[in-house]
Amino acid sequence: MHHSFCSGDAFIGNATCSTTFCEPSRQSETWQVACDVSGCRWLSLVGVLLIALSPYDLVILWAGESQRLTDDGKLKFSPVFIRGGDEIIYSVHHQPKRVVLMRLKLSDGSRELVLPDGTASQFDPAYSRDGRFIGYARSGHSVQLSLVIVDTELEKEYAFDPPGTSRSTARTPRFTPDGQRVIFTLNGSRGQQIASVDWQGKDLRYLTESSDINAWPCLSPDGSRVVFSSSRNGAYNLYLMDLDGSNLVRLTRSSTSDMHATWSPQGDRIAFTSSRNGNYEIYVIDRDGENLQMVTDHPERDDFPAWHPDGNHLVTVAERKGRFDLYLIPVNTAVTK
Amino acid sequence: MLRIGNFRAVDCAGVTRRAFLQAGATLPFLQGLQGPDQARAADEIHPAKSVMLIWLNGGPSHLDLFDPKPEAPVEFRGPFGTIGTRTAGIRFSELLPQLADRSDRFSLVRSNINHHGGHRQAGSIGMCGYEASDGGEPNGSPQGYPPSFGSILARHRGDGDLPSFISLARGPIGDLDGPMLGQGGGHWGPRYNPFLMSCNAEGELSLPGLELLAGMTPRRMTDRRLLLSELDQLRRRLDVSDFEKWDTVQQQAYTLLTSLGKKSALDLSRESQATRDSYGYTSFGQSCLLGCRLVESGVPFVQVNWSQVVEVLFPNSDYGWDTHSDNFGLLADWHGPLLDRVLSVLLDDLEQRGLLETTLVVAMGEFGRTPRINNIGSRDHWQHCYFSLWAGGGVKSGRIVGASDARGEHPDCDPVTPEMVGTTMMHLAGMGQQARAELGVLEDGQVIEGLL
Repeated sequence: MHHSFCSGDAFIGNATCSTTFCEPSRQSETWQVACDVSGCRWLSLVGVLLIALSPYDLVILWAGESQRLTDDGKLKFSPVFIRGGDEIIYSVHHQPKRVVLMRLKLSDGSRELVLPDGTASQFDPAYSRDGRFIGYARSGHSVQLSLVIVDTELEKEYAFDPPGTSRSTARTPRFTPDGQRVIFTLNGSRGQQIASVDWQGKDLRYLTESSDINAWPCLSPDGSRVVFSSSRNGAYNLYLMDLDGSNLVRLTRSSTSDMHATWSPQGDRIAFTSSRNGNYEIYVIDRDGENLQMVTDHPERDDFPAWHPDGNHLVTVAERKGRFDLYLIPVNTAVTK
Repeated sequence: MLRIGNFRAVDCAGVTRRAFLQAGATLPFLQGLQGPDQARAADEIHPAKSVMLIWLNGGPSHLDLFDPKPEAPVEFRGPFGTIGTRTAGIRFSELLPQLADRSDRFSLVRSNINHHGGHRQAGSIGMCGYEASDGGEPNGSPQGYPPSFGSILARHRGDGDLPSFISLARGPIGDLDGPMLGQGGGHWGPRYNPFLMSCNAEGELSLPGLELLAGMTPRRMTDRRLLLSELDQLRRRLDVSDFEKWDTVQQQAYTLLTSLGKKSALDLSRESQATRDSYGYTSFGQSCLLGCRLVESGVPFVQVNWSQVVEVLFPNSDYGWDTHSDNFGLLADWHGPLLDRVLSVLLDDLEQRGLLETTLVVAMGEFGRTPRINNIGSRDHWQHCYFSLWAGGGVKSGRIVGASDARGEHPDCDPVTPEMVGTTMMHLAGMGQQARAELGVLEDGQVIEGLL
């Protein structure tokens, strides 16, 4: 049941995808997965109430259409919504030797460089909730990737150069709800850890201090919990901890990687990428580790989920026919009986 | 002043703009038309008509791709899970699901070794098989090295109207400090250097050595009058010192471009949309498709380079495999899935075209990466043990040759040197010991018997 994807020059913002050139994608086929995906039998139709029978559960789903938001096909990473969901910032392999931050306005599909000056690569955009601060990772020579925090009100820039060696990096920043601190992945003098600094790049604190690999932290909307990936029990699995690193709880158990976790706006669910089914796909799980759902299923790659502020959609980077574009996919109202 | 591509400003390698023009007089473009070995090559029978070297510039981590060590201590094993393959008892990293599903179509060497831990030296050694006692850069110049494997085969074959050795890159490969000196003709001279082409993410071609032809497309290449006009315009822009060299360059460039244009090898738009899609719209993906077409057109040695420079995160790098920092994030987000897709499609495509049997595909870098995770949570250079993937061209598939120890630090058995890599390539391409001895190359090299 592999449908073809949007083709042509389609741009779809918040508007409904035109059926003249955009077919429903398999991404729209949301279904419930109970432990064993391969054991599920399912049916789906676009935009209608679905009933699927599996050996495990009766699943009632409401699924909508996926919408392709970009059409340049370039390699993309790490989208985030800003301005109440009106815009998306993401990093894109814009030129052979440069990755940059790009802003996409959903109202008209226009795109522009967020930080057009310079030649450095820019990865992993993050915005504070009030929109005042922009955080990202910037390539350099003295340190490979610095954490840069831009105060858009004062038009000042702060850089945190990670300790360790000239190869050290700081990646995947996320602001606390009050905008006062940034948590991020730190490849520094203590290995690969989750750490935080204040909005001026000072007061470094470690949230993890383990000999394994820790990555991709994301704060809950209330700022109390951090979800992140760690290899402390084998492959990357998801863990939760408090902002000070305490109260560690393992969220997922997979023999392959769970990555790129992101909290729903309501704080009740977490979307993430997993290769547990043999390919990068998007999954959603409740914050208590229950109710695992497989959101995408396509032979090509689905990655980097980010919640729309409405809590009913995710934007993802999907590889389709060899091109990487942003897609908006519905994920809501799955009910397990 | 004539500005000719990326050859122009690279002083540390001794390759300057003028050097290119000087080299142009003896460029390898048409050496096949004039080569002394032409008649001999035509009479030889060999299983591999072409060699396709997929050069993973920068040194990919063997533990995180083809030689995982899930039972190793945490400071070695890394964060990736392992998956089964079609080869009994063999597991790959979870980053390679499509290649795992094709492991019966290729063989893997898990015991490669190199003699140097620096990119440019190890890359040179890896491409020409040079084994110096000090492992250093002989004379600090290309002439100090023996010819690279591609140059050897190109000279040996010496036939056809296409360049015999084409390297797909934006310029001579190396690091941000300079090129790998052993990637060309070495002491045979620049005449045997590879002809450079590059292919962007949309499959558009450029010739780093001839950027003068701005806006050139394969269709325009076939327009002789247009091409001559552009070359004449270029000639008028040359300064006096360059002028004397111009005729030779013009003639060679013209003949090269028109001969390739006639064969349409460079025009990826002639491929079906499905084929182009399958490789994916990245420079590496479309370059592999171009490499496939060049092989199909009879080019004896095609080198597809992952990147021009080894570095991955420094400014002006083009995202090579040198993952001193954030190795695991980069491999998960970028390098792993891309390599898995493109190599898998390449093997499928060669097979569907009926070319895999006669094309030797070798994928490797200059070394692996440190099995012990470094103090910033990543992996550094490791020349003591790494992998190479071999397919087609007379290689028995589904085999694992050599083995690394429990932590992936050293070969447990059957160490494979760069000289053995080159010797095996030449052997499979029909260039036996006698032929190598006649050219004075790889005379004492051993074939990797486990692949045959």
